Amino acid sequence: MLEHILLSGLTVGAIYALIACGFTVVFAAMRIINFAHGEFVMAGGMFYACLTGAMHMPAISAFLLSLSLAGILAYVVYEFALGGVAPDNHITQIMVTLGVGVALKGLIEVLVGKDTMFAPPFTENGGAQLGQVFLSAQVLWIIFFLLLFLGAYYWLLRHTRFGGGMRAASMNHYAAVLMGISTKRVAATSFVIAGVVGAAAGSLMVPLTSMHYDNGMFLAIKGFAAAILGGLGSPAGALAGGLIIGLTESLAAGYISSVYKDAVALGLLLLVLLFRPQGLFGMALPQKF
Amino acid sequence: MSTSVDRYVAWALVLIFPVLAVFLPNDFYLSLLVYGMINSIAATGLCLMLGFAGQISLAQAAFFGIGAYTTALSMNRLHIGPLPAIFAGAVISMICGWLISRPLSRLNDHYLAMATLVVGSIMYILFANAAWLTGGLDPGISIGKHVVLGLDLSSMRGLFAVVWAALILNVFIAVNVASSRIGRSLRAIKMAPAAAACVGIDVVRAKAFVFALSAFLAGLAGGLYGLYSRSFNAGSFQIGYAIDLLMMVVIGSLSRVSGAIVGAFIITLLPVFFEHFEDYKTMIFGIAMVVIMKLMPMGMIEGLFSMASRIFCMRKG
Repeated sequence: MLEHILLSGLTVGAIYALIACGFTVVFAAMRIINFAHGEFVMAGGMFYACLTGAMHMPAISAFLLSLSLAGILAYVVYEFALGGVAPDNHITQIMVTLGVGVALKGLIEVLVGKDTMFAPPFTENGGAQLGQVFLSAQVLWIIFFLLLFLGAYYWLLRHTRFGGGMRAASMNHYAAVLMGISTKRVAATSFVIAGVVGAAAGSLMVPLTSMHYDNGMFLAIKGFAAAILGGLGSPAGALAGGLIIGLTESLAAGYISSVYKDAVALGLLLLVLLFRPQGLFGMALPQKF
Repeated sequence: MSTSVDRYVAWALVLIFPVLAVFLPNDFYLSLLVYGMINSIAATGLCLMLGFAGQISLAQAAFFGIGAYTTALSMNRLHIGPLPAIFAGAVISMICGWLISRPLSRLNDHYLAMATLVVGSIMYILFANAAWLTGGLDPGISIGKHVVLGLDLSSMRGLFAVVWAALILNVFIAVNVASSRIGRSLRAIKMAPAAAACVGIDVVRAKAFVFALSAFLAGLAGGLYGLYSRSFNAGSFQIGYAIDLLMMVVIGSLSRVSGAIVGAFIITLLPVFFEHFEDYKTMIFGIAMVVIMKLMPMGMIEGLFSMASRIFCMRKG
């Protein structure tokens, strides 16, 4: 029993960690919480389900195409909606990202409809036996992609010139501008990375959970919970936060009640927001009003 | 448009409604009018919060639900009359709002929006799953027939009188708060919280006040909605309704009570004027929210008005 609960917690946690990475990347570059992120996850999953289902594409190419579509979508959104908003106009930023999320949800509702979508796993067979529990191939894909993304993002930040610019922009916006870094380009790139990684999370989870056009907001809240638990802006924190939220949720579902597992995870987020808004591993934020 | 103009426009709107109610041809239009008035009350609450204090709340649907369920439950189980039940709903919603506001007032902007979103989601999960109390999603909860002061509340005309009285209360509270000391301190907090604190405004108390007030108005609207629909389920209190309320304020005005009322009516009437609107509603609302917030961050109607008055002044000069 416990092994299975831990395994499902690990799987869900890995997906939450991927979603959390999207929040983290955008927050690092723009200091905003992207309220549309959940809809990118949902849209990615929907693209994958439609491409493999209605268009009979092979899983891997459907996955890559879904990621590219989400990337293009994210670029369009940045260029037309988010780009021109002043960095200190918080209410407008919140409303614009919320609006983008609502619009994306509506777009998928019109394009795909209100049916719950299912999709085949990436590979039919494969998987690994780990003691008493069996890890299916899809779970291994999820963990593989999560580690691949974290590695690539780390490499981008630490070992490329552009990544250095991204780190500078995240530390001090105006100093970065004065040093000749195009913060607009940093922001656009980060937004596209977030869209792509969100769509990847969506595509990877569809074979396990199915997807509905209404799921986006909940996925966003869970991913955000993971991101803030580990400290917004830190990818390693997102990984830890995702695993904590996933394990809490599946333990709650196993031992308390599966109906209230969402409420337990969200309550955890609320507690973190109230008592440690900088996250478990983050540094203290300056106190404002 | 100064606050006094806003006051006159808001009162004028309120006084037009009974005239409209007399001339409307049938109960369908009357029920739309009543629903628009209920939405106006909830939108006014959000307007005070967002436009005056600059605090974003995505939990309004939850307060709306608390009002509706309290009204229905106290009528069904405690056998209280409808008017005290509505009042109880509004007060309990206000207490919940006040309790939530104390810890949340530490958070600002993005964090506050996320926290209120989470509060709204948790409340929705409770509404949908505590079926022994709320009836959940299916079968939901129903309110029987009631007569108050000779008015049959199951008829639209009877309900109109009650909702209109509530709207008068709503506008009275809102316009007076707007032009009072507390309204000015809320606007100061919106512009610069640190500066507001420096001139002696108790920022935490003012935030708690506006949070509780907007929860009160949302709860009042929720109780009226319970009587209006007579049978409802948890589906009415999803995040979608909070987004609808946000749209009403964005369409109307972010900082005018009259704008919130006009916006509420526009959003209420859109599905009637456009066939198949419900299918595209989500997409249109999302795009409209982005476009309006980018072009006219004070709200669409107010933006149009200020543009028109600028053109008018230019000609005169």
